[in-house]
Amino acid sequence: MKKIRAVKTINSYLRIPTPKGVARGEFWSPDRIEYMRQLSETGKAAIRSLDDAAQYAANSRSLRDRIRLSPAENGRGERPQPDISVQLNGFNGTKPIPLAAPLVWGDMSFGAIHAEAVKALVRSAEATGILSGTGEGGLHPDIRHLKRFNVQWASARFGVDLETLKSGSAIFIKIGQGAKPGIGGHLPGMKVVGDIPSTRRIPEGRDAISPAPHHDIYSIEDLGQRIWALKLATGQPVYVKVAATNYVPYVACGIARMGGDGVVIDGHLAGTGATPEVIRDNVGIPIEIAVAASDQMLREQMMDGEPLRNRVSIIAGGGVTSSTDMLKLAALGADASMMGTGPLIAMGCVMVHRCHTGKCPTALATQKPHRLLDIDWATERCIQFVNGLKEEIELLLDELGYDSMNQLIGNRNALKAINLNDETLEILGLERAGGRSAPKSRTETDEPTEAPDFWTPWRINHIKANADTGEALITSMGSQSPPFVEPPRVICDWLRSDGAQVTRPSVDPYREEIETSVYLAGGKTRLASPCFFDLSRYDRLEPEAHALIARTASAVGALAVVSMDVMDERIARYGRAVALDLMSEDAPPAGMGEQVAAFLIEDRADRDRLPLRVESLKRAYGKPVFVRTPPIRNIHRRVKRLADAHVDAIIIRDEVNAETGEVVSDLSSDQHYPLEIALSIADMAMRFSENGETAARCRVNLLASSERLRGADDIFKLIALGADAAGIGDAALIAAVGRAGGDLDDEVDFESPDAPIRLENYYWATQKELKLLLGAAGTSSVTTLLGSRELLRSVDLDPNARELLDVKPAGR
Amino acid sequence: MPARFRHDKIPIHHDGCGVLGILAKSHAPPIRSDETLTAIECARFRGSKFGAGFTGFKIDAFPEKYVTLRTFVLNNEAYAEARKTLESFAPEGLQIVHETPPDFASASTMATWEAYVLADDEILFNAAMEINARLEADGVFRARVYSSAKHHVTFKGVGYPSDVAEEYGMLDPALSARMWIAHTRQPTNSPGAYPIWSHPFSLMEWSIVHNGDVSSFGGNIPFMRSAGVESVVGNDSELICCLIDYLTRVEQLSLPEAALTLTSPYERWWKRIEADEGIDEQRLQQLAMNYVGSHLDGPFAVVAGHADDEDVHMLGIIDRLKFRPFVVGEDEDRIYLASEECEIRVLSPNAAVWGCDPGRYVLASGKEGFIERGLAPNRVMFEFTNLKRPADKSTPDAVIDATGMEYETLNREIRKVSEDGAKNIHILRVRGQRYLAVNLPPETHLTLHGAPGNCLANFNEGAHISVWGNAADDTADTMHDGSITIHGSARDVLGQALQGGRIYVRGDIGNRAGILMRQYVDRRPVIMAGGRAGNYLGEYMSGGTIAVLGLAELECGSDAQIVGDFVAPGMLGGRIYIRGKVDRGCVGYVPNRVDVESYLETLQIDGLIADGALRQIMALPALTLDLMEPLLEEEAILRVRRLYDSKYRMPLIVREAPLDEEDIEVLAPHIDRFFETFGLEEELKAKLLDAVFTRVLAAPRMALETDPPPVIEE
Repeated sequence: MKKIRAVKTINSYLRIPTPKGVARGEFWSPDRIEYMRQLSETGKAAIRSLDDAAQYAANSRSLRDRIRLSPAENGRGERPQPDISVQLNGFNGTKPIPLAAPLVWGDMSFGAIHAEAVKALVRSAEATGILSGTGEGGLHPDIRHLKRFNVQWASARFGVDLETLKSGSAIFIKIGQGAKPGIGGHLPGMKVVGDIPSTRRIPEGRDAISPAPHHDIYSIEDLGQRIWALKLATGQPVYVKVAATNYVPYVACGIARMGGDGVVIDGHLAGTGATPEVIRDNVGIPIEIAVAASDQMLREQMMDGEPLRNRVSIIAGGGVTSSTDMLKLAALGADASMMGTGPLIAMGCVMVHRCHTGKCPTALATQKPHRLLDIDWATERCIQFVNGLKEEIELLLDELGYDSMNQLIGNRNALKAINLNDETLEILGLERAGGRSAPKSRTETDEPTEAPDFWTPWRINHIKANADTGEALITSMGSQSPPFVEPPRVICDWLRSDGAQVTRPSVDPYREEIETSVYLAGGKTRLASPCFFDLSRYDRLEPEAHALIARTASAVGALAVVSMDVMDERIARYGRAVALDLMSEDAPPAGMGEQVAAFLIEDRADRDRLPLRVESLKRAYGKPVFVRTPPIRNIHRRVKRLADAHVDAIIIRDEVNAETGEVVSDLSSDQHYPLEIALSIADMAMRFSENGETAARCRVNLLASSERLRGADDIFKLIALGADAAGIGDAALIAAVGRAGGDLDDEVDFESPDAPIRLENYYWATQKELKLLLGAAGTSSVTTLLGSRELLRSVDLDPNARELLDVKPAGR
Repeated sequence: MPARFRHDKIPIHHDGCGVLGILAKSHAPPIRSDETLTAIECARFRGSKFGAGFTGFKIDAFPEKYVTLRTFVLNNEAYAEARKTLESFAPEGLQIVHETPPDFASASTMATWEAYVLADDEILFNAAMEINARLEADGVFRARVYSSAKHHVTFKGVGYPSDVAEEYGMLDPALSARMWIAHTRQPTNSPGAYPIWSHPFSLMEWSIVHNGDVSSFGGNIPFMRSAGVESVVGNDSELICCLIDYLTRVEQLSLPEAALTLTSPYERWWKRIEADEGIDEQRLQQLAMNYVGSHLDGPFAVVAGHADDEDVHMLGIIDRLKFRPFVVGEDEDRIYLASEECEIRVLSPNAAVWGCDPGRYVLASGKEGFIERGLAPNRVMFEFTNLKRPADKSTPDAVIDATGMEYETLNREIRKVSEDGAKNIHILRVRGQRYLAVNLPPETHLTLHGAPGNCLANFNEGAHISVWGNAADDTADTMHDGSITIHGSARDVLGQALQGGRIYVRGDIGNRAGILMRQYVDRRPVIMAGGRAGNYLGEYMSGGTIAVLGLAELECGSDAQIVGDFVAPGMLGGRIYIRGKVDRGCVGYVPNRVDVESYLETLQIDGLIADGALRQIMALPALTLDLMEPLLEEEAILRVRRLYDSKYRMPLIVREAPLDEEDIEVLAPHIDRFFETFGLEEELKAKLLDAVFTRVLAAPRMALETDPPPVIEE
């Protein structure tokens, strides 16, 4: 019999769960949530002065929290209460939208959140004079008669018809969102119930994953075509919402030229009901940089004798938590800020990251019938939240010395950076607090943090989840991602990948073909995905583990490097996927050479004999010969020497201290480069030939391998820096096979019956996550990613390291 | 470490655009520049005033004796420096025969310096690269060689195509050439307006125009740098030109090989290419491997031209994902490539026009005509203009002649007559106007004669539209009710998110037809095509019916497959009917065969598959689950399924059989109406109803998860 449960009404705040165990870095910390609750309960300012604002921003790594509000020269004086209203412009003959405060609610769909929450958002916008949005889920009938909302036109066209499009104040074409640039909306199947399938016109109970690109918008002129089709049909203003990605200033200019009325830029830290974690944590640039760079380019670019900036409004979102954030974004160029997570917290969100499971305890991001949000309570909380923010903005504007919000918009003088490097300052157009003579910012948070905490619990759990399901890990809300939240640990952590939008489309990773296979050694070796298992000389693994990993390599179409001292008959059965590390030997024992796929030798002592060893191995077995080298400082000379010895591939592997087991190749070493830098230098060095011959890079593969390689994000970045493929060390594999717990030192049973399945799952899930990253970046093949540094951007990375990597800084 | 180039200093300039290429067959008279201008001006809405250009190949008025080096120079100083650089190649045998100095007085930004030279190819290339590199610093270009050919001349500048044509005096008198390519540019960011960013981009004897923004740019740059290109203006089109020149001139690849290197077809297509185009799999693997860095990804549609003493070649390449519009045309005298059909129609109302298949290329020469048409070789062509068609019997209560009308004017006129009460409106001589019928009242009948532009009948809520001709891209997006009848063919993305009403197309439907199609309440949308369909048919489809009939093939008894690759990826519901057999590897998600084989072989080593079963499986034409499962033990089935299944995909049920009763109930009323609408014969209908169809359905959905919510402390 079906159990009937009483409906619980949610009309008060739940206790905020404290993070378990080691400090789990989450951007939406209990302190932030408490602050927002205070506003929502009282309707009064909590941050009442610039000092309060500075204190609020302390201990945070996000860029805006490393910038301070700075009073105007004339400072505070006798003046009437500041005017905090702004106007979203309706340039091309369309109606402007006045806002009582520089704030709009983020677009959250009916489906991602409950109908009651949707209604509370629109009602509170109506009551406070701001703007709400429908998201891509269509228009709920109860709010159709209201005005202060925008209607979203997204790639799946859920619930839109002419009447819907003509409702509200504006149409937002959603191209991208900050939590998943280059990826389509995702409504998990268990939320596709009740009225939702009929509103969206989709089958009940199936994940609704919107196409990654709009299939009618593959270029800037295509976007123009859609803008005008919508304008002609409805007469409404049309805004275009994009994620903050590499080319966002160009995209903003394109939107302005194509007749859009506004640019909505959504940055990292933006919330979502479901996103692949690998996308959320690696794709897109900070909103601060995106807004500043877009504002600047829009001011420089002219159309019909007028700056493009005069034709469009800018709305900026992504982790906006407070009045302080709103003022900072305004000074960087935004006409209004967008808050999505903010009002959810006002309505009780406790940040347990369960939206994607449909099991929200606060009745917000769920469609289950047994909990119901009290709509009047929720509406009132949102109204009071806005009231509190309004008062804070008035108080801060007054102390800063401005009469109105409009004076602050785009006014970089109102900001001073406290802890950003010169390059980032220049991109943001900011001065440093304390003037030019102030010391250059280097704090301990800007240095890579070494092991022992390299393997954070959330990274280990990610690998385990991959091994459980064989699918990309889906998550929701918030972020722990370096370099904004958690401190960066390796160079890769400062690098962000691109999300393609408007100038080119992203490629749908769920339904369209994205190739991950690569050929090595002149076609003799094929990898199904650009990664291999590099296990040689890791004595942490038992022989049966080597056998299992070689078997996995054979099954999934990869390669496993196995050292000769553990090689046995069990492993040799899967020899077709084994690269045999010969260690100090010149040749394999009799009979073994025929069974393996390739040989590997170390480039250490007796380097003069290396060409001879390579040649004799090739002659005897006709199989590829790989050579491994550490990321030494003169890597550019070494790879040329190895290339001249006619090796098939060079593997650069992180150098590990033999005694402590710690990786020694980092920025502070004077013998080694960090792996990423050595790789990038090696790739470039091999592309030049001195005497007009074909460049060595065309015939020699370059591989990068590290015990610290964590997953698809690292693989993606290493390929973009010049690697054909990346080697996964033993740590990730131990994490994949081990079940519960987040510790790598646990006993792991490689002989358990599900071990082979877990390893295959991990490989396939990593391959799927790689496809997500490739598709998001607008590439349909791993081979066109190779060496494509243009798809990466660094965020406040040490400029010397950045130049050695040859990657552009975000915002350029 | 080498300090030769820096990725982090590369400028980037994104373009959108309209492209055109016209080639005269050898028996035909040359093509005039004013005709070319008329055609490219038809794509005016794709471009802007920020750049346009033309390249004429074998222009009558220009002798082909010397190489003309054309260089934009910023001022006299830059001119002097560029000239000195060119002269410095004299010891290597470069001879300046004659020159026309730049005329700064009449140039708005940069002026053109022309030098007629004699030199070997390699010296010439080095000289051009040296001038470009030496006169560029930090993204400031003081001089730029933009043309260095014997057999063609490039004219480009800032403005619309008409402005550029006037600037170069191309109209009075008109120039005649064996081939023209032309371009109108839509930049996303135009830092000052300099002609160096305009198309065509030319290098040695190649000249290209391009529409798109390749995502492989960052990977192509190092490849070209190692091939000697030091300085780039940051435009991907320039890079594509360098790549084509390098692959053909230095690496000596044939034109088909160069085309396949640039487009890098999917590995799973190699077998097909071996069969269709005679380049074997091993060679394709070599091209894929040896030229890593020269493959293009992301959206591109390129028209490239090349001329030599013998012949003139036109090459068209298109991205494998089919992200850009690209049509091919032919008439008695000429061969055309264009972004939009109207560019061709304005010159040749009766030309045959078709879409280039993704992953293929178009190659033609003056002497040989078409070498590759961008289509499967066994394709039965459907052409509206050759069609015996029923008379248009409807009597209009308003007639509008669209000649010379821009889309705004035409739409305004239509709205006016509609508001005045007209219910049956005829438009004559439609030439690429967009957004037609986006806001028409229900039950209005609109008949269009000619070639309507993109976004026809978007959001349609009950109007009935007939097109006597071919329809363009994005027809009937988010249509809820009404009907569209197309007597010709439809291009890409027909009926996206179609959720009611019917679309009948007499000819072919392009790529991504019926994607996101869905049904609700009593709405059951239908797309029926008399011809064939391109790739991604019914992608994301969750309701309604798509039927592809392949009538021409049926009539002539051809067993060619009438749909492209990737049928129904991500399909959730609805029905797809395709007449005839379809390669199972084209339907739904099928992993790469090589990967499945590796996995099966490993299971065999594990002892989970018997040798005999493995041999049988390897002999299967396509490795789909339903074909493999009968040959496998249960444990192996469970393992293998993991390669195919995903939480995010529904398994598809594919059946090859004559129509059953349920199918007839769904299809027969539409087939009857289709045959009546297009005046087709009963005999053919009978044959059709007896034919074998491939039917694709999504499997019933999985059960919902019903576990209880987590317990949270409160």
